[in-house]
Amino acid sequence: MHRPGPKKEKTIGLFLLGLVLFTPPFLTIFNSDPLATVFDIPLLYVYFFVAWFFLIALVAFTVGRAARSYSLEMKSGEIQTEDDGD
Amino acid sequence: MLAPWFIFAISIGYLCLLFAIAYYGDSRADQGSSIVRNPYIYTLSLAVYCTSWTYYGSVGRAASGGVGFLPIYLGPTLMFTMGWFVIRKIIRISKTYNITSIADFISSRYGKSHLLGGLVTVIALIGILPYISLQLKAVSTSFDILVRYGGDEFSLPTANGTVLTDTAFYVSLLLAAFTILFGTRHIDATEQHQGMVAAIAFESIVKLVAFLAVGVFVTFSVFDGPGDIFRQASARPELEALFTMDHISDGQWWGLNLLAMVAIVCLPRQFQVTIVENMDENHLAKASWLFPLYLFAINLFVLPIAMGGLILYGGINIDADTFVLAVPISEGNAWLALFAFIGGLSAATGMVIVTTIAISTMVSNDLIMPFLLRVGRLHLSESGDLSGLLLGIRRMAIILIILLGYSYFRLVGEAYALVTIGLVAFAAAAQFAPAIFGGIFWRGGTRLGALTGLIAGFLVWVYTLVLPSFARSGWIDETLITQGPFGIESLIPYALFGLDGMDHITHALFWSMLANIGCYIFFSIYRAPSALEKNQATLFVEVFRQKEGRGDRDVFWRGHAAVEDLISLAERFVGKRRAQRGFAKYAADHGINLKTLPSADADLVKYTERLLAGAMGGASARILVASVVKGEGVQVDEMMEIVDEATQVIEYSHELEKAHAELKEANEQLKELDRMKDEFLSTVTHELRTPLTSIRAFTEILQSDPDIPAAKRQEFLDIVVKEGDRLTRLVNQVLDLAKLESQRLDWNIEAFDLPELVLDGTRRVEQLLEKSRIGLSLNLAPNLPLVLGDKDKILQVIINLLSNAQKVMEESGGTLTISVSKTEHGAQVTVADNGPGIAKEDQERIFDRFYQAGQKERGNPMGVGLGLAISQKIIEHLNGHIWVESEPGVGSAFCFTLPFIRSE
Repeated sequence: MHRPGPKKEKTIGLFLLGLVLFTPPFLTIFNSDPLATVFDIPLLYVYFFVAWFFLIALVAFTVGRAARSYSLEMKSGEIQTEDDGD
Repeated sequence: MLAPWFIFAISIGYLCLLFAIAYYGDSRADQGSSIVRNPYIYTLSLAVYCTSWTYYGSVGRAASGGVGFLPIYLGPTLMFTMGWFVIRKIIRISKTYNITSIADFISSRYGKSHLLGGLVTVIALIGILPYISLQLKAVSTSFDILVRYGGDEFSLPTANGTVLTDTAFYVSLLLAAFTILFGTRHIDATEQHQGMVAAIAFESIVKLVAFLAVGVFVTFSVFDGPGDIFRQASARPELEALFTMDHISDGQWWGLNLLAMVAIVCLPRQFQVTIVENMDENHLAKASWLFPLYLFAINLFVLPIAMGGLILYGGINIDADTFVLAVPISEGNAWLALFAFIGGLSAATGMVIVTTIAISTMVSNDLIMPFLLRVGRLHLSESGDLSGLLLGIRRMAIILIILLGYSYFRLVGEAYALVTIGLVAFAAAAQFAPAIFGGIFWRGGTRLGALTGLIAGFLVWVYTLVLPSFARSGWIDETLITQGPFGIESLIPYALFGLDGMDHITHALFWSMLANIGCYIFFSIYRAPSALEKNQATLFVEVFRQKEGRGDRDVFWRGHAAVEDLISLAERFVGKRRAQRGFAKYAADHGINLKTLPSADADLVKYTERLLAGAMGGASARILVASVVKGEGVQVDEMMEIVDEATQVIEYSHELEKAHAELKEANEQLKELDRMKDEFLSTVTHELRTPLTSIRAFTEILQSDPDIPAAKRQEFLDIVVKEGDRLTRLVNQVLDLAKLESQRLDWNIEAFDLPELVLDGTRRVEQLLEKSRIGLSLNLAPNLPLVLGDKDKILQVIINLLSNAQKVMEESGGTLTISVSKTEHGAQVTVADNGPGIAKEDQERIFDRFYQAGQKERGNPMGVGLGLAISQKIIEHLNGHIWVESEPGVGSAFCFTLPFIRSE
């Protein structure tokens, strides 16, 4: 069956990626040395904002592209049924 | 440097600007050219998430906990990664069923339950009220700071003036006016407030720009870039902890992330802007990355401002919550300070406006209307236009909520209860999460489960967060949090059942979610849902499978509803103009004329219910519609029962069909057995008759003719004896076979040496073979393990095979090869002759009873055809295998295997 929109697997994948990026065990890597800095900014702070931006960019790329094809198909009326993600 | 009246005038002016924007937004909406129908305004309206608690509070949290403030914004980011999958489903459900609030959503999902809707409303009201007062307090405090700044005395001012001199009071009144004006302008079937959304979006821009301006000012004007701030901060040992996450436990981190994740959907104001005010679900696609980007931007300068403030006022006791204002003031930038104040005002007012609209809708639709309908239903049904009443209730609710929030703030003042209110409100909203997310993905969730879950979670929330905060504020005895109620230590609210070492929010979240989810699942499984619940569950969970606009064709119906009754009902509750517009649209869509319609069909009744649901919630709409439907309208429950019965009947008939098929098969088998028995009997009688006939013939000859020569007489008698033998043998074999088949044979299972038995068998036919000039070749493998079987019966098989071989080789002569070898299945005995061989088609049937290979051609039966059948039965009973390999013209080999004993 044709499934428009980003597949739910993709969105769940992104979610899991986000969990890993912002989860204590993984964060510990950037927490290990309080003195580590990037241009005098603490590494932990830099990591948070870089990782956050990276995740947002990924969502923009995935959802944006899928939604474009979705609305295109909506217009051409190709969609009959849609996966509801049970 | 700035006169109070000037700041006050600017504040009022700003609010008036909001009025103008909202008015413009509404008038554009009325003209049909919406300014809010695009993903960017939608995203900005979602940013109502960032309240003054974010605006001032994030810096405060960062100043005391480093990155500890981030989960509040990472959580929503995580939720929006799945936005297209989760939030879009909620939007689709709400659009399809005209959901007007979070209480309406939960109540509709669980069988349009009034009780549930009311409960959600009460929880939301209790949880959010302090949060509203927090916003008003922020406005008041920030105003005071701006007015009374001077020198170094930045101690947090309190709202100690009278009500009439308090800015927050006038702001509250203005907010109430704004909310009434743009939140309850009319009763609408869609319950959308485009003007309000436009104003909120504008506020989101203002607060973002203001915060960024302060951030840039602190970072690049007061300090020399972020590197400079952090370099100076790291030089101070007392700030060292802020650069790490060591002071944040994993549990707390997870807890806050989870809390913010569900809050972004479950907070009433977020539900309002994300779901109810959504105009096109495709807007969600852009919003699911633009909104996190907004959160990202507004948090970018939180750490620099916090660190900068800590460096600047290191020695002075200044509340870090006020840094956003304090730094511009102390650096002498009055206009920036004013702008920062306006930003904070935006954050606070946006939250109050949206929350109040959401809660007032819930209060009127899910609390007061159901109550009025229940108590004074008749009276209500008699009066005229009721849309005014509905609006009146909402307006009263708005004024009441805002004034309650204001008086709470005046009463509680600086008490501890107000400080942690943001997260406490999140934890209250999180109680809706199991019912919502469970409700859209799990069909099994029931009303009872949602009800018990909500109550349990809410009670735990009150006990672990609200009561202790009262205790800390000194309103109730503080021993509650030190020694537990009545001195029971395991019931200490901050360490329930001895669960210690978590921060209060995580601790409360853990226990309340445990109680909530636990009850939700347990009671959902424990008691079967009613038909209406089941129906609603399917409609919600499978919303994407429904065709547009006909999602809830659930009511079958025999009753009568007059079209004019339905129309007048709708007119009274949503207003004449809107009702008529709605019905005209319906008539146009369906191509019918409502005036000539004799009575309303189920579709029209449903449509009316949805129209009403948009104005007053699903639960009330249901009651109202039921009141005008006359006659024996089939109740949903009844209908579902019928369907259930039908389903069961279908199931039974499936079972019947299956049973029938099984019986038929058994019958076929019986018939086949019967046929085989007949065949067997006729063969046996035939086989018996042949020798009997010949015996009788010869004895008759001997009896009737005494003059037969002695030699001839001897020959006849020999035949009679031989035929008698054959008869005996036949009868014995038939008996054997019968016993074998009916399992009545006694088996004497033992381990024995198979080659030895083969030798024994060979010895018994040796003479016979010699007489027929048949050579014998023995090939017995040495040292074979013992096999398991019945020795006598195996000997019978061996002799049968040997005598068969002897028979086929009687004329031709040749060599009989007997071998015993070891295979993976056990010991294998092969008896190979070089007789005429057996044709392919005979090989398959040679083990059948009475089957005699080549019998017809030779015309001289040499056996009764039971030997091989008996052999097969014996070998198979002993877990062996018997088969024949043969090449016509070359010879045949009969083989059988027997398993070794399993001693090795």
